[in-house]
Amino acid sequence: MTTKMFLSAISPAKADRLYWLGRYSERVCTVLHILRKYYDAIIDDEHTNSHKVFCSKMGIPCEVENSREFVHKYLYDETLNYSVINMLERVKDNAILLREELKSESLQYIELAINFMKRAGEEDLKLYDIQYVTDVMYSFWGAVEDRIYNSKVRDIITSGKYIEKLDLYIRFGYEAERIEDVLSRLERVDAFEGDFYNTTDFINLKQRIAMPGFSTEETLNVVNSLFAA
Amino acid sequence: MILKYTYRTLITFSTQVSSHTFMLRCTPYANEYQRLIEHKTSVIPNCLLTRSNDTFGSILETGYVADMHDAFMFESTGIIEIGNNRSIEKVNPLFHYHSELTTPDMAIRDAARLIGMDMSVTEWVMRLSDYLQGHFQYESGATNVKTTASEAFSLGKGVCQDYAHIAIAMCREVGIAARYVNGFMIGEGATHAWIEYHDGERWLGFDPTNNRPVDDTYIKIAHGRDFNDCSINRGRFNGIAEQNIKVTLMVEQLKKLPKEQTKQIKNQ
Amino acid sequence: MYTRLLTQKDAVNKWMERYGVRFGIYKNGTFKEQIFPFDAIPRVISNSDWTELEKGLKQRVDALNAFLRDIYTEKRIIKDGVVPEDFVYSSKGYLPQCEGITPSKGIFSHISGIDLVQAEDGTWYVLEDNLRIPSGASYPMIARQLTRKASPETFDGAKVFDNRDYARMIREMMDHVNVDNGLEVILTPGRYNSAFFEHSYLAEKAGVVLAFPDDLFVDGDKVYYKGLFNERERVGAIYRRLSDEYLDPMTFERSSLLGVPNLFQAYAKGNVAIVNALGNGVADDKGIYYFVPKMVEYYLNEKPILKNAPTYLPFYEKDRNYVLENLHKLVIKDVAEAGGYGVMFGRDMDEKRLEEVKELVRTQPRRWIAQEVINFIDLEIMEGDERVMRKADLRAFVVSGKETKVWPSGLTRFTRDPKSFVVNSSQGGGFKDTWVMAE
Repeated sequence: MTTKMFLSAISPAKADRLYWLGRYSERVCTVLHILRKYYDAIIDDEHTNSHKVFCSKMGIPCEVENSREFVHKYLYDETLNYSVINMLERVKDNAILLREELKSESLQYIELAINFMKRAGEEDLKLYDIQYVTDVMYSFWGAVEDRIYNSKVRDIITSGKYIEKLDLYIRFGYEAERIEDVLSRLERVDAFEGDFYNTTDFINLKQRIAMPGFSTEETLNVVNSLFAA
Repeated sequence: MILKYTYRTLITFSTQVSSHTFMLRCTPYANEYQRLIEHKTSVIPNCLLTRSNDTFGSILETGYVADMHDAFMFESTGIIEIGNNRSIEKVNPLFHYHSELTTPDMAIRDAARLIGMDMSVTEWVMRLSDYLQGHFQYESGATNVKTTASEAFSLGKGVCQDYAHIAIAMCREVGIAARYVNGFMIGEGATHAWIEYHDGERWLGFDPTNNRPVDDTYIKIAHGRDFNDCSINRGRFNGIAEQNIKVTLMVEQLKKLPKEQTKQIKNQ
Repeated sequence: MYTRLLTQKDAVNKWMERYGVRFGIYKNGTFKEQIFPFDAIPRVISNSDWTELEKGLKQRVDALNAFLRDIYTEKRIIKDGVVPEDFVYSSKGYLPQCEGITPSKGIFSHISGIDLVQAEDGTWYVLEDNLRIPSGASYPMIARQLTRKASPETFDGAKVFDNRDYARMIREMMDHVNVDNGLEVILTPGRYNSAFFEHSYLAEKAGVVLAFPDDLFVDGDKVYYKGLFNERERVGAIYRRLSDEYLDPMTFERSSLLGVPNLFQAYAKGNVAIVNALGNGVADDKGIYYFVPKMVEYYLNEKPILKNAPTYLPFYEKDRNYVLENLHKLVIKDVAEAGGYGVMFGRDMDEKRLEEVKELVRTQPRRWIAQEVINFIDLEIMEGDERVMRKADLRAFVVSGKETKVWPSGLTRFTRDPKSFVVNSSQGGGFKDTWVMAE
């Protein structure tokens, strides 16, 4: 067999799918992680407002008063477009079109995560009981690293991953060092070349983050417009 | 007759479009009675035009405009000498079979049978055309490019395309090979459609809309089973835009060939 | 031989779920993905049976390819009175646009799916040739992969031909027809196609690009894959999973949003190989089927090895009379339909219906074919923990590249409804792996 395929171009539509695959997969992992921290507070006090804080940082509506009810809906409600189950569906929507790049071995983790989440929703499993989703998503990331031999393809997914991390770290006010660490990882991704992102925007972003007390909203806008394809 | 023609289509888009692929059939058919003395197709935005013949021998020009644009223009101009001799030709059996837009219903079948059989093919076609004059009315806007012969016939009105489709359906129904022709006609400001039928020896043209045989004032562009094989322009682009289409056509008679052309022909 | 495998059938099904082995189906206008029910009991074909089948399949596909080459050029078979002109020109699958075009390396049907059944006396009969986009090979391929994973002991010492090299066969064929050493792609209409799993799985296993219609464009009669930074990469071979009429809105169905505009021009100029070629529908038309054994004699000067089911063409007066007299015991098929639709059994009709159908046969003789009902053998399937007998057929895959090769496996489909004879997956059937014994 020739190596033709690995040298081949990536179409704009495919690049878009790779990027969003990276973003949504990362969103599932990081959101579950952050949610566990907030959930910790709910254990002690069901009437805490911590879920409202979570919603406002995520920029999603908060229509439920009760914290436990919120967590259930946020995890499992298929009618809410921002629920975790729907994040996983978006992961799958993109991944399923990329089988030949991701390989069936990587795709299976997404199938496993979705099937598990669906059953968990029916059985109303609690947040700590769905550690399995995090486990298989990390397996997925491992498979992405290992099973994709086209470095450009891997790089676009990874860029999506770091951009999503930036977005969430900024929303939830992570320390500057953590954010700078993600930025420098993003910078090291090979696909990161002039055409791929707007270089001026990237420099702008770096400068913003270096300034204490930067505006979250404006910075998020820059983060989300980085990807030019 | 020597005819000079200029055909132009200008499409303006309400918003920018890109990745625009197109296929044109706007160059006159080259055969023993249509001699292209001079011809040019130009397209704006400028792009690589590739030329080929379709399966029926009509000339195709295709191209691709990758970049954003909000207008598309193509123009075909030329000088053409048209004669009247039609040579003996074998029929492609395909033109005996009904096609998508000419599949007849009972009404068309019955009408075809009513015309009678005891006459020459040409006589039959003339009778058919007489029949249409009495039973079908010219009205633009009543039909569209997808209207079939049967639909138009039951509606009782339509344009040259519908006249041609009905006539072809009726011919094929009684065993006469017939095909659809798209082209220009002297004095007309838009493309015209007529038919060709095979009289056993030759393909002959007839214009059912104007109820008369086709002569050297008609320029044939393309022929095929029905309109679908002859579209003058097909396009596909990325973008959601409304299209405004403006078509102009000028066909005029030249008394004699322009000088340079006469010389060129002698040299050939 | 496979008892151990049966104890692992739940494990196999779990793996199938993990791997997303599904097919899509439209029900009341909405798209659903369903698990394609897998039955762990394989269909076993003995080596001697296979040797005969393999020869017959090669012969049949070679004749069909010769027919297609002839029909789109000289049409000798019509001139010599073997096939009536009518069956070609009035076939929906005949594309006049393809007249005079010889595809890359002269191959029309690169991947042929031949549907067979085995009668109670052991004779194999061909029911249908599929020369357009036969689907289904990926299912036994992945089933083998997963059954080997779930129950390796089963295959320990079992002399079964490996069937997992199907993708490699496809890849070699594509390399063979590739024009100018361009990129090789599988062109899928998209996720909402019933066989999307197969498109993506074959792309993965064959190591070719999975392309969506928007990824490709034609410029200067050449096909290109569109890159992210406006770079373009020349495409040399397209395994398209899109039917002829939707492939190019400039030449065919103008409303098609799926096709690649002007792809046909690039193909006609010989600048790209299209797998399978355009216009193959004229050879797998149910009416033309009748003539396939005659094609073998006509083009190859050989005696046909594989039999057709006994078929009557009402187009011929003698056959028509037979059909009208014996309709109650025949099966009638509409030549324009596919996928198990338009199939009617005379024995299921009451007097009134029989008369109606006879009238249809009289008024539109070209539209129908009639066949004797073959009592084909039932295969065992697992219904829960019980073994029951059900009707099954076999789709054999023949790949024509440098040589014509028969894939030593096939898709065995069965009906789950004990009363049904129609085994199509779009009608609720399941599938089995097909084991061809190496000795």
